[in-house]
Amino acid sequence: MKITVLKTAERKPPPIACPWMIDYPTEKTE
Amino acid sequence: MFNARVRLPDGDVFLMNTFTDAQLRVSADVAAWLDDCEAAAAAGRPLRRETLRPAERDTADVLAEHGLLVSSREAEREALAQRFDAHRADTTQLRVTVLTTLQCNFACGYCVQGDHAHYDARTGRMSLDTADRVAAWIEGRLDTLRPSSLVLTFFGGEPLLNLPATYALAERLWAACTARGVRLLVNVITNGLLLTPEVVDRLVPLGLNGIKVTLDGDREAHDRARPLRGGQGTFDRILNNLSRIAGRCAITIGGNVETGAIDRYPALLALLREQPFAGSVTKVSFKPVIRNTPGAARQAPVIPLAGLRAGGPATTAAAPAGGSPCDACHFVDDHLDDLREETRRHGFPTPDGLHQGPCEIHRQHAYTIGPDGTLYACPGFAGESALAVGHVEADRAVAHEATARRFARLTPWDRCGDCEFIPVCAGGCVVASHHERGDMTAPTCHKRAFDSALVSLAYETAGVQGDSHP
Repeated sequence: MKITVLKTAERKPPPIACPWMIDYPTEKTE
Repeated sequence: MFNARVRLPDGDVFLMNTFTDAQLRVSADVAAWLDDCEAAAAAGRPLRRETLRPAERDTADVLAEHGLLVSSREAEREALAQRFDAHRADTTQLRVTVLTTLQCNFACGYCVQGDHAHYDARTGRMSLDTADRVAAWIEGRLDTLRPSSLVLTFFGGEPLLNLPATYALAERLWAACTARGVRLLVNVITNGLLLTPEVVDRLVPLGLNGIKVTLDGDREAHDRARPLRGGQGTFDRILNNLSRIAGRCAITIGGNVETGAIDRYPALLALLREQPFAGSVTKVSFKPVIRNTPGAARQAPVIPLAGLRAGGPATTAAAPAGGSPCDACHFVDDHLDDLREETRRHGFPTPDGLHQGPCEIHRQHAYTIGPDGTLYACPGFAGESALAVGHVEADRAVAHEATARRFARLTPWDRCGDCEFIPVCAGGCVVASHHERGDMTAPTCHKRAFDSALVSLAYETAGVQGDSHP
């Protein structure tokens, strides 16, 4: 039984403000 | 319940939990063992750790650590409800989309927002007095919520048709945010026709975060889809305007994909790559065109959001009672996944198509404000006075309280059955549900699109070469 963790939960991206229609610009980081 | 999987070419399995976002590559026997666990639990024989063999115990520990093995479906659902509640109540970021005008100088064939016939009229245009009241209302929200950031987005209609209100709001709110130690991020969603270096230079010191313009394919396809009101093309002028602002701010390119023009996007991407502003493009994102569906209960004008593929609805309803909503899902734009890959191949960032919702309509402190100061749950409902949720003037807000409560209670995912994509979808677009189904409480299902995006994510994350992609 082999398991390789490719991604842990801590890095979950925030939801997209309007994924269905508007496409707000990505928020730049400081 | 929120486990999704993709079988990889070498027999391994990509496992993802859409609630925790954990992603694992496991051997086939692990996936089979997980299935056995689920079947046993469904039969009333939940997993008991003390009965496991050592190898199974180690496997169970890793899967549990990453949320792929949970104590019960009920516990997982409760955790999801708590997350969505936290999302709704979040005050760390105040989001306000201001429609400075509903007027537009374009005549896009798919736009059902209306006002084409009166774009020169003063109606549907925010006055400076109203802009003052809007700014005062936002300042009040800043004082009440004390967010760390304010995302102020100018939208329309075409927001650059009302620059005085745009500048007045940006300047006043920059001062308000500076005084309060709040980070201001200003976005402009424009058709690009009136976009100039002067506009950008005026907004950059006021916190300009990004400009978004829409290009619906290459020149021929775009000019057909997004002409001026007189029918003239707009593609060349938009590209020229973008070139003039190259390097001044981040640019997002959006594209509304129609079935008939889908083959025109690779040419657009190749052309974009050659442009002087290519290095300023921070996102390219394609979406299906959304139209009102004939027969839907409501046909009121909105922003062009509802989608319809030739030959059938692009987004559809939940299944009849007793079935999964996704069983009846006809939303597919299988080409979107290809377009995402093509976009990445040209070196442009693009959403993965999987990490989507819950959208901002499910956030209490995300507001859309119309030209007269009326509040809407999201831009897709702008102009529908019967669905207004408030007003920047307190005495005019009272009349909308019942509607506001109606929006606050929306939980379309409750009707999504056991769909594994609920944590990253939250029932889809409420605007589409409202306009295509006449029922904003119903989900709008995109499951096939999610399935397709999952495969791409699995192959990319697991390092499978593109040639092996099914």
